[in-house]
Amino acid sequence: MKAKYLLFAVLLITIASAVGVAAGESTKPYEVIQWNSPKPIGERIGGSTYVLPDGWKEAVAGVKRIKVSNFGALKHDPATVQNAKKFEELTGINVQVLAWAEAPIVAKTVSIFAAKSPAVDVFCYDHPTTYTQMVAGGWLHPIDAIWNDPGAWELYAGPLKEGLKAPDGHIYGSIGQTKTMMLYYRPSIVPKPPETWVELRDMAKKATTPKVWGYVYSAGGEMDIIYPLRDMVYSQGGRIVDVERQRIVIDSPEGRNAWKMLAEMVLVDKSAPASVLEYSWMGVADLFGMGKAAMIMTHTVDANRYQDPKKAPGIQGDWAVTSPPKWDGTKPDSYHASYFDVDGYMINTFINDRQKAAAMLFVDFMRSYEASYRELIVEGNEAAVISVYDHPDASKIPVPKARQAAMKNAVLETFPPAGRMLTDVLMEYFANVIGGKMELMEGLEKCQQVLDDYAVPE
Amino acid sequence: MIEKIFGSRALPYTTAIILLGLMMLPMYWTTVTAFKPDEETYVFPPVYFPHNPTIEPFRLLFEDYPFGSYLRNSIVVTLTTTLIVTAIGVLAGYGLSQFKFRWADTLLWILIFTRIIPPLSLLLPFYLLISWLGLVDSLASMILANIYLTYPFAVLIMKSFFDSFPRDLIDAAVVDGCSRTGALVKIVIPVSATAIASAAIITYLWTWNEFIYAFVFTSTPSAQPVTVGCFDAIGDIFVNWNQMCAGSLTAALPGIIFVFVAQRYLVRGLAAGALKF
Amino acid sequence: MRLSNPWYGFLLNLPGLVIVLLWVLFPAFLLVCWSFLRHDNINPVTFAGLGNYVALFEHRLFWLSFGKVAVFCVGTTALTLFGGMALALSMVKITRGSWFFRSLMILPWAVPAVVSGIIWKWMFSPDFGVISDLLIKIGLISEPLSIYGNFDLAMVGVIVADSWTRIPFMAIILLAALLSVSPELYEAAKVDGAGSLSRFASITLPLIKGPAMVGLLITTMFSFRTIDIIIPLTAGGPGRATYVFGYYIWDQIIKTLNFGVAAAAGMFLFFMTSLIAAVFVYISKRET
Repeated sequence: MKAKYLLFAVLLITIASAVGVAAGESTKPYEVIQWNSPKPIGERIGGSTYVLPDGWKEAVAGVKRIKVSNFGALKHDPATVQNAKKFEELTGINVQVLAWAEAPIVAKTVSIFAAKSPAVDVFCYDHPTTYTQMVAGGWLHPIDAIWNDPGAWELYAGPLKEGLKAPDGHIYGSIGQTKTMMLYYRPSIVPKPPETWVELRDMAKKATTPKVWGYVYSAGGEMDIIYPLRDMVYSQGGRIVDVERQRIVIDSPEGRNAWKMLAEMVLVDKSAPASVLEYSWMGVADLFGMGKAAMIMTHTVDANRYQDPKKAPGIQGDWAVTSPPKWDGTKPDSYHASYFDVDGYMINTFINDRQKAAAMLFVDFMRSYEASYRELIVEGNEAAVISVYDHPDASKIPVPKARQAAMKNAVLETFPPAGRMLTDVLMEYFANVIGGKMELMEGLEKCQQVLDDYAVPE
Repeated sequence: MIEKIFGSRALPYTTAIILLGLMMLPMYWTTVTAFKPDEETYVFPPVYFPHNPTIEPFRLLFEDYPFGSYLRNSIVVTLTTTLIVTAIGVLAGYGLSQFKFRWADTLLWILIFTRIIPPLSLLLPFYLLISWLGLVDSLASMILANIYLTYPFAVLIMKSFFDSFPRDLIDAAVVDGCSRTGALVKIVIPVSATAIASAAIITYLWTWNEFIYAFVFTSTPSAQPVTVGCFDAIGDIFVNWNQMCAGSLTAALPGIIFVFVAQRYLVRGLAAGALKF
Repeated sequence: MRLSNPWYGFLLNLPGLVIVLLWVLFPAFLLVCWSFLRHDNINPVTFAGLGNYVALFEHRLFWLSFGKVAVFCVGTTALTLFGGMALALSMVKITRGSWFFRSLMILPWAVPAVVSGIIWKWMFSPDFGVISDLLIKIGLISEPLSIYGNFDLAMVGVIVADSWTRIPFMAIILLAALLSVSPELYEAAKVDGAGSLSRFASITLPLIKGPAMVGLLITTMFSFRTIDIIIPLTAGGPGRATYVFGYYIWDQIIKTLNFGVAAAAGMFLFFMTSLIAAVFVYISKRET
């Protein structure tokens, strides 16, 4: 008799604990984290020291490592390396940063998704050109939870909130690094920098010699041609993405002006080389560093490189930065604009739930004041958190105020899905014009036609 | 007149010197640039012989990039693949040639067929297979891919060679009491050393030089071979061309050394019978 | 002894066969399947019948890349044949220092194609390139050359670079063939009074035709589907100047991310290479 009762009791306890465990498991590990405590998100990540959210420890119990992809070699991203180390100190989770070459990054990312593989936890991605595509693929883990505080949005530049929202209303991406472009020039060749593109074109003509090009821009790849086109279009107050129709529009008054000026700088003025068809945005920055260009537009982070005599042998002591030009004198000053670049982080939906919790924690940390501080001061990227520019250390970096202003004016546009395919068309037709295979406006009109013909996904 | 030119003794040497001179220009230029300091690299007109040669580019190459890992990966993958492919290729070629079983020809055609399918076409499906097996970013994935790429040709070479192999040697050995396997090991292999060597050399070179599959299958220096390493480096910010040339030289060197050492086997092996298609 | 023969041979083949069939059959099967699926990583995956193939043939870039690869293939094969033949003919007669000459001849083949692309990119550099300088020094041009500003030059550039990597292989095959021509044939012809050129035409050419065809077949097939050297050198550019068919497939996989069309294009490439092989086999069968 006693034995029967004992058995029954044991059975009952077993069933009860099983149910208990199952009930416990129905809450996902990442839902255990309370992002808004001990302080609201905005204060928690916006203070000079990052504070971990409550519940993080049990959420990530057992996670030893997360893998995060990175644009390019780590030696160019000292801030990322330091931030990763700090994260490991805080949480005990090792961050393995994968240095992926730029060209195949999207392909590698997508092939991991296509294989539904958990090989990488967090992916870096270029927000303007690939966000909508990644979301459309259904591969991303939503991270609305970490943005659940109005105070959080206020830390960053205005365009970010709308930019991070996907068409379905959820948020799937977060900030890694932000950048914009500014005008670099050689004071010895161009004593007073141009305020407008129209002025710049004239100055470039005068500055061109057999050894130095007046102005150099990139048109080599689909990711390169959009820089000069976008900047010139924004400088006129225009846009190149028609959000309603999910199209790229180059055949607009602003687009035509930009197209014409860029092509004529090569074909008519001879102030830019035909080799722009090969240059990437990195190649253009290299050329300036070697002293072969009088003026270029490039990322603010290149200021660090130009200070280094090993990396910029041709221009030591002879380079300066100013804000991006506006189109001409008739435009308002807010059109001193370049593009707002977000290199973001997105989380793989195919990893297990504990890894997701760890990944969300990492992403939370990387957008904090502390992480942004390192981005600005250690690496010379822009700081995503605007208040970092007011920190006394900010005066150590070149032209902090001009950069802050440029970030305020910068324009964020998100491309439709297959964005890179569309910009590829821009690259092709622009090359046809420069290569003499098509007339100037014929190239533009044909290009727009091909862009419009592209099937819009349902 | 024509006879004087075409029949002259000097013509072959002159032609060879001119042609080879042109063909060697890229190698010369790469070598020279690899030893130039930065100031002598980025000048036009270019400097044809460095005034201040230095090994800085090599040092920086290994410092800035995990080139040592790249080399190690290439060596491991190439040696493993070559060993495996040569071993089973010799066996298979011998089997196809000496044993007239019914599907011998079909088998050979299937093997050749697998090489007519362009590797590029199979890239993506292959990648899926690799990731299902959890072999992404591993040396094993590249070894497997390279075995697929090189095995058929190795078998082809060995089979052609064995086809023209004097059977009396084998038969004599068998009469003396050797088994078929024994004949293979004791008689055939030693005599076919040249053909085996040429199969091994071709396998080695093709594997060392493989790029596309390695590029897609690997993502970290723990598995990337030297071909991918070089390519990644030129996509990087600020390409140091002298370092790149140092890297290119390092990447090409094992193949070059191999060729110098093994060249005579290659020509002889091919001539001996590989061409009797 | 005889009883065990056929099976023994089959057994010897087994390991290699298993590996190759596993590694090839399964992906090949996937390739065929994918070519009939709509798999563009934007919309859900559905059956598309011949949709991908239709899209392929309607695609402007498809025809463009096909045209480019035709030019590229013909150019490379021709230059390779010419260079390989010239080298092989010279090597056959060279007795002193032959080891050294032959090693140099094979050298470019030892360089990975992608590394060759990098080397040639540096040589063709519009700002610091040695090719520009040499051409200026010879007096052919007056300003530095940029293959990146001129569509035709770009094609010439990739043809030259690719041929550079293929000439050694062709030269070796031709050399091996030439070496197996017995010298008595030449002696006899000389005695009969035949001059160098006629000896070449009536003895050499016919005898090396077989291996030459093999070399041509391989060169044509491989150059038709190659992208290894184009990726670093011009990336299909400038614009689409060197956008060969292989590059079209590469883009579909890496840029466009349309795996269905990529698979269809892959099937088409396979079809084309089979066609090339079939043509060559037919021609050589007709000769014998």
